[in-house]
This record gives sequence, structure tokens and C-alpha cells, in this order.
Amino acid sequence: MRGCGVAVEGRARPTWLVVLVVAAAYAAGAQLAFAVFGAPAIVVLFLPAGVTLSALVLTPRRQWPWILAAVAATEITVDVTHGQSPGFVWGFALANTVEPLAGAWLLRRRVGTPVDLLRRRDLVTFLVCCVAIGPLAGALIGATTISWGLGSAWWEAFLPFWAGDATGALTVGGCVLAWRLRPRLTAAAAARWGLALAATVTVTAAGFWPAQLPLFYLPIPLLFLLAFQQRLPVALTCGLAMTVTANALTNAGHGPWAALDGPAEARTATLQLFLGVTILGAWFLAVGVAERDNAMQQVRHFEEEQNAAHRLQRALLPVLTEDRPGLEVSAGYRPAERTHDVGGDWYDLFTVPGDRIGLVVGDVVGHDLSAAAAMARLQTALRILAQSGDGPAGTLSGLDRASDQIAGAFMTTVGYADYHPPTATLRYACAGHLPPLLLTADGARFLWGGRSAPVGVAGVDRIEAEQHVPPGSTLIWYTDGLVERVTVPLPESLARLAERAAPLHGHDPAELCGRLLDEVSDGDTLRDDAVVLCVRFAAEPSMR
Amino acid sequence: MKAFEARTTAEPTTAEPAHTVVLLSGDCDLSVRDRMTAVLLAAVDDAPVVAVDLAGVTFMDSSGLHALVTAHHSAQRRGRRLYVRGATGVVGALLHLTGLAGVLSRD
Repeated sequence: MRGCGVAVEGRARPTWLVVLVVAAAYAAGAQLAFAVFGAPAIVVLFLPAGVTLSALVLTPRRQWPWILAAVAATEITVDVTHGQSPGFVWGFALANTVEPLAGAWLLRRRVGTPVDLLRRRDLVTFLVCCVAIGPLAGALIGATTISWGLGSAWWEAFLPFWAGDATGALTVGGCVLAWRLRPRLTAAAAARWGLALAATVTVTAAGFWPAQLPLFYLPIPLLFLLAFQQRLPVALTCGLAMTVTANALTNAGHGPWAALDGPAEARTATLQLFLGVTILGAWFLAVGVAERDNAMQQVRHFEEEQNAAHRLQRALLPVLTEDRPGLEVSAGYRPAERTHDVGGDWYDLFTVPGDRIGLVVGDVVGHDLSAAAAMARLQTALRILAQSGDGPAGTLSGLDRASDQIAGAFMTTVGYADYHPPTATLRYACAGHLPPLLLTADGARFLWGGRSAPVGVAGVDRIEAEQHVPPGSTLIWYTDGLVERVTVPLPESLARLAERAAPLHGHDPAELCGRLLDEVSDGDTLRDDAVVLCVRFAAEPSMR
Repeated sequence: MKAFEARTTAEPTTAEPAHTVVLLSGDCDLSVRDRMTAVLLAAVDDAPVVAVDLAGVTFMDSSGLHALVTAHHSAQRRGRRLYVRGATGVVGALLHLTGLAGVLSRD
């Protein structure tokens, strides 16, 4: 844990400070190995493996020679003071420098800094490079040294060496590398952390005290709970506390592993394996929780953005509160489901010189905020152009010219009509837009006149058509979101719309809009926004 | 749904000297608009006359039309020609409905 001060987030600390801290932490860990974990018998948990490893991962390469030299010197000093023979001393110094060097070099080659141990890829790379491969290299050298020095079997030295160093790299290395993910240390957070550590030590001690009762699994639920609720460093430091407690008690002759028969090497290796697997289980849980949290945050962000886009769209559409003389009007907008699409669909209704009322339905190509912006500009342009009193064809020609100056306007489809109440006539023109549907007592029929290409298409002559509207009839105008289905050809879905609308003749426009928009999806997901404008012409043309 | 595909080939004809055919197939919607536009503009760059064959197109929306007309405009500005053929069924209906059948026809 003391290695945490070495270097954080890419800021290099002075070399002398790094070397001092690493040497002190390494010496403390190595002393612990001799004093508590039974190093003289070479049955050890070797925590310093994680000190050197994390120091190398967190420091710039130019500091590596100094760190490795300090580690080698400390290892030699500790070994010599414990009366190890010179052959051992040099062998261990080599093993304990090659091992972290291999692990750190591989990890930094595969993963950029900083290492994020809550990310699946980073964690797996850490496990493969620093917990498996690095200690494997160390164990090869260490076991060769031991078997050559003691004349014992190579395998008997190799397994516990690997297991001891791998657990050191996993626990201490994990704690230090995850340190940057620690909670903000308020008094309350520090108290909670301290409590978690104390509880872990207590529960582990309870599990590793009785020799004949197998209770060693007691810390598992606590560690998993911490991984689920607390930040990763809390769970990992508690994992380290569990590891130290379990090894200390086992070495003092307590607990199920001390009571096991069989070779000491197998015992220490399986104890480290149990502790490592428990910590890894908690760690994977923490990664899963972090991934879930990230996903939920993304979903929230996505939903907020979508809501904002739809609010903007709604805000841009006029509210048709008042009926005009001789008209009852209603309009509705239904956003696309599931997709992130925001409209570009709009409707509009305004008065035009000459006792006329202008009706608009339009659809900009694309579904994003820039489409919504283009729609707002086109809506304004069309309102102004209509005031010239040029009629639908003339107004759309004006819109063609204006569209050069409006980004995203090209290929917009627009239907524009003006209605003259005194004569009950409707002049209309469709720039690539779907035809309006006229609902009369005789049924529903599309008005196929006044058709020309979408806005901005070069060399198009705008034409318009005129239609007498019987009293009480209703005009339904919409965007393709109301009818377009991938699975159904457009002419067929237009026919379906007419079929659905025909029996609704005489209904209130607001009800009509609601019904059409509600039934639009036919049970399918609505892929596109849909806009509907319903205008019912007065039963008796108002004479003015 | 069918995946969008575009294939550009040179078609030897006696009538048109350097005649390129772009065969489109699958769904021409918003998700492929940029790719479709790029393919068509590249074809217009390469040949004075480009025929866009829509026989294999299973679905087209305003995005697909946008790409066709964009390329058509690019051809016009440079004194070249781009027209569509093989537009039947759904796609043909869409071209007529949007008033683009005339604009994009051969004559």
C-alpha cells in the first residue's frame, strides 16, 4: 500500500523519492515474508512482487534502472541479514527484478497508461502479463536457484514461488494500480474504509483459526459485498488484508491449510490459489457493476438528448389553438420510437392576403438537430413567401430560390395549399410531397394534382391544382412517417390510410388526428417521425 | 431488410461513347446515404453518361432520392448526364409520387 505515493496519473516524481519509497516498501514486505509467512522454509506469500511491479507501471522508463537497482540492493541486503548463501542472494535478486520488469513491460506495451483495472481488457491484460507471465519468469529463475542450492526437486520450488509472487502481484499490485479510483477521502469515507478493513481481518481470522472446522470461506460474501457497493480500491485493500491475515494465521499453525497433510509446497500454492480466486471473483463483480453503471449512464444521457430533441421539435411546431373562420383545425406530431431520430417534419397554418388561409406540411431529409434547424428556417421562409399572394405554385418557386441559402433544405418535400372560405376552394401544390387526402361523405380520396419535384431540384416548373371542397369535408395532410413502412409498398400503405380514414368522416379534427397517429404504427415500431394536419371545412361556407 | 450494395461497371454501347452503369441493390435509406452519394458522384466524375440501375433496389426513402438528385445536379453542372433505369414497383412508385421520375429519366 505504501507504493501508492510513487507516481500518479503520469506526473513523474523525483527519482530519489521513488527509489526511497520503493526500497522502503520492498524491505517491509520482504521482512514480513521472512518474519510472518515463513520465508526461510521457502513457503511464502511474497508481497514485494506487487511493489516493484506497480512502481514500474506507474513511472517513466528512465526511472526504471534506478528502481530495479534499488530493489536488487534491498533484496540482497534482506537476504544477507537473514543469512542466505551468496548463490541464493544473487539468484533471488535476479528473479525479483526480471519478474516485475517482464510484467510491467508487457502490460504497458498492450495497454496505454493509465491502466484502468475496471475495464475488462485492462484487467485481463494485467492478469495475463503481471500475475501469470511475470511471476512465471520470476519462478523459473527462483526455482532454478533453489533447486540448485538445496538440491531439492525443481517443481517443489517452482509452484509455491509462482503462487506466492502471483498473489503478491495481484493483491499489492492491484491495490496500487487501482489507487487512482479511490473514493474521496472524507472523514466518513475513511471511517467506512477502516471499518471494512477491520471487518475483513476479523472475519478472515474467524475463518482461519479453527483447524478442524472448514470456515475459510467466511470472508467471501464480505469481499463481494464491498466489490458491489464500494469503490475498487476498498475491495482490493480488504482483499490484501484477507490475504495477509490468512497467510499469517496459516503460518502460525492455525486454520484448515495448516492442518492439511501433504507437501508444504502444495499447501501454500493452494492457499494462495484460494485467496487469489476469491479476490478475482470480487474484482470481476466490480468490473460488471462498473460496466452496468456506465451503460446506464449512457442510456440516461441518450434519453436526455432524445427528450431535448423532441422538446425542440415540439417547440418549433405551432400550437393551433384557435379555429379560423370557416375552418376547424387540429394537428399532431408523433416522434419516432426506438431510434434517435428527431424530426424535420412540420406543419403550419397562417393567414394569407386575399382572405385565404395557408396550410403547410413539410419534411426535411435527415433526422437530427440540423434537420430540425433547416425545418425551422424553411417554415419561416414559407410563411413570408406566402404573404406575396402568389398562390401555391408561386410560393413554392420562391421556396426553391430561398432554399439555396438554407443549409439542409435541398430535397425537402413540402405540400402547400391555400383555402378561400368564401368560395370553398382549395388551391394546392406538392413539391415531392405526399398527396393530401380529402374526406367527404362519399369517402376518402387523394388529391393528385399540382405535383412537382422536391425543393431545390434544378429546372422544375411548379404547378398547382384547384379543388372545390364540399361543406363538412375534411382535408388530411401528413408526412411520410404516417404511411411509410419498410415491409409495405407505398401505394399500398396510402390505400390503407384512405381505408382507415373513410369511416372517420364527420369526426372532430382533433379526434381524427389522435386516431390516425395512434393507429399509424399498425403494431410496428414507428421508424420515422409523423406529422398530421386535419382541417375540417365549415358546413356552410362563411360569406364575408 | 436487404443490405445495400453498389457496383459500378462500364457498359459497351454503340449509342453512348463512355457509358457507366451503377447497379444499386438492397435498401437505400439514411444509413447508406453517404456511401450511395459517394458512389454516384464518383461515377459522374468518371464518365459523361451514367445510368443508375435501380432494378435490385428493395426499398428507397427520401435519403436515397437525395443521393440520386445530388448526383444528377452534379452531372448537370458539368454538362454531363445521369439517369435512372429499371425503377419498377416500390421504387418506381416513389419516383412518380415525388415528381422525380421526369427529372431523373433518360430523356
